[in-house]
Amino acid sequence: MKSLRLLFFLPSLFFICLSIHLITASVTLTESVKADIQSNLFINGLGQALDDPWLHHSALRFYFRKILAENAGKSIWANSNMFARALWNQYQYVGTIEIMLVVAHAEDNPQEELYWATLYSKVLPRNKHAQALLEHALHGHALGEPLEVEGKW
Amino acid sequence: MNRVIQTYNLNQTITLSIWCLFFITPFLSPNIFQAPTAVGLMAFSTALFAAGWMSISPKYDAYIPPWAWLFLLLYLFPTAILLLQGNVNSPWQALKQCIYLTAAWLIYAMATPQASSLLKSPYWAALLAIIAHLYVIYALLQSFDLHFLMPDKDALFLVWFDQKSYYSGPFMQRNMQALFLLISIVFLWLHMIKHQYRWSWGAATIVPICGLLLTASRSGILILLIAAIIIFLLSKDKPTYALSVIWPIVLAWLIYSWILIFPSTESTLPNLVERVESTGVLPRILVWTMSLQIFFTHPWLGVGWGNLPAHDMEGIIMALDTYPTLANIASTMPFAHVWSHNIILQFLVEGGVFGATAIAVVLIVLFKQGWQCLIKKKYTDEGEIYAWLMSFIILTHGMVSISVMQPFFMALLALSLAACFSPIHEKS
Repeated sequence: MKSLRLLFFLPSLFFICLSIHLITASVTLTESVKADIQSNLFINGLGQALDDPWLHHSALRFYFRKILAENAGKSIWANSNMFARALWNQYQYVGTIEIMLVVAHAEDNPQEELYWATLYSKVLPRNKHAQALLEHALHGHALGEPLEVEGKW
Repeated sequence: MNRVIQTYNLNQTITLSIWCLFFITPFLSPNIFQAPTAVGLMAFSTALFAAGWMSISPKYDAYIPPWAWLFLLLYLFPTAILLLQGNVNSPWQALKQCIYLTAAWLIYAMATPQASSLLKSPYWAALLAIIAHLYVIYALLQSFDLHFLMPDKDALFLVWFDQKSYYSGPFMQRNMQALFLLISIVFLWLHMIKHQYRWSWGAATIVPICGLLLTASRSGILILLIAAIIIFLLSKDKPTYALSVIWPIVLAWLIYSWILIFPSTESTLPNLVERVESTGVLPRILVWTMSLQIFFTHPWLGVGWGNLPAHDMEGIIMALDTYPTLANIASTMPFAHVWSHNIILQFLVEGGVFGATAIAVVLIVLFKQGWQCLIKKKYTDEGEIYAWLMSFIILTHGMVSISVMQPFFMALLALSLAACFSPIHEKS
C-alpha cells in the first residue's frame, strides 16, 4: 500500500516534465528565429514550434515580428494569410488587426483592407494612426502608396 | 509517542522546505519568450509536490467536501461541451486553463490532511516573513537599474536584469508583489496576537509594509486596511493590538518617505497619492464592460477558458457602442485583454452561467465559513481563521486584479481553502 502513496507525486512529475519541455523547446525556438527566414534552421525550428501546443502562439508572433524586421517581400506576406488568421483567432488586439491589414495589403485585396482598417479605427476611435490606416484603405492603396504600420506585435 | 511527535515535526519541516522552494519559483523565471507560462508551470510543480507530500500525512486522511466536487464539475463542464462541439476559438488555451485549474484543485484535495496545521504554525508565518523580506530587497534593487550578473541577452533568468518595472519584485507586477506582502503581513499580525503582542512579530512587518507602500498598489493598501479591521475585531485586547499594528506602520511610512527623498527614485517611484487620485479605474471599467458584453452574447457556456483574448474585439466594439464615453480610454489601451480583472466576470465570460455558479459555490461557502468563524466564533482551531483570512485576501484582490488567475496565487488559494474547509479526519 505504501507504494500507492507515490501516485500522489504523479501530478507534480507531469508538471515538472511540462516545464522542462517548455523551456527547452522555447530555447530552440529563440535560437532558430535568429537565423535567416529562408534558412533550414528557421523553417524547421518554426515548424516544430507551430506544431507544439505550448509554443504555437509564441511561434506565430515570432514569425510575424521576424518577417517585419527582415522586410520580407510581398509574396511572403500574402502567403502568411493562414498564420495571420490563426493568430487572430487566438489573440485579438490592434496588433493582430495590423497584421491582417498588412496581409490584405500584400494580397492586393482592398475590400479586406478596408474591413480591417475600419475595425482598427472602431477599436481605437481617437487614435491618429487608426485614421491614417483608414485613409490608406480608402484612397492611398488605390494610388499605390506604401502601408505604414506601427509594428508593435 | 515521542517517535510520533518527531516524525510529525520532520514531516512539517520537509513540507515547509518544499513550500519555500515554491516561493522561490518567481526568481527562477527563465529568460525565454514564454517565461510567465514556464514560471507558472514551475510553481504548480512545486506546489503539487508539496501537496503530494502533505497527502501522505501519518495522522490524517484527506477529505474532499461535496461542494469541491461540484465546483470541479461546473468548471470543466462548459469548456468540455464547447471543445466537443468544436466551438472554441483557441482550443489549446481552453485546455491549458483547464489543466491549470485541475492542478489547483488537486493541490486543494491533497493538502487537506495537513493544510490547517501548516497555516497556523509560527514557522509558516516566519517563512512568509523571510520570503517577503527577500521580495522587498529584490524590488529595491530593481530601482537601481542593476544588471546583476551579465548583459540582458545572456542572462539565464529574467530577474538577473532590469525589467523596467520598478518595485514590482520577482513577479514583475506590482499588484502581485503587493498581494504576497499583504498575505505575509496578515500572518505576522495574527501571530502577534497569538503570542501576547510580542514586539518581534510587529517588527517583522516593517519591511513588508514598506515594500507594500513602494508598490503603490491601491487594491493592496485597501485590502490591508480591511484585514487590519477584521483582525482588530478578532483581537481580545484591542488597544494593545492597535498599538502593536500602528508603530510598525508609522516606522514603515517614515522609511518609505526617506526612500522618496533620493533623487534617483523620483522618476521610478510610483507615487501612491497620485495613483489614488488618478482616474486609473476607467481602464478597469472598460475591461469589465467588455467582459459583460461578451458574456451577454455567450451566456450559457461562455467563450471557453482562456479564450477571452480570442473575443476581445467583439467585446470592445459592443462596449464602445453601449458607452461611447469610454472611447478615450480605449484609444490608450492598444493591447489584448487576457484577463477580466475580476474573478466573477472572468468566470462569467469564460465559463458562462456554469462557470459563474462554480465560483459562486466557493464564495458562498467562504462567506458561510467567515460567518461561523468571525461572527459566531465557532471554529475547531485558529488554523481555520488564518486560512479564511488568506482566502478572503486572495479572492478580494481577485475582484480588481488578475492575481488569482495566476498559477502562483491559484496554488496559494488552493492551500488556504484546503485549510479552511477540511475538518480533520483521524486515520482509522
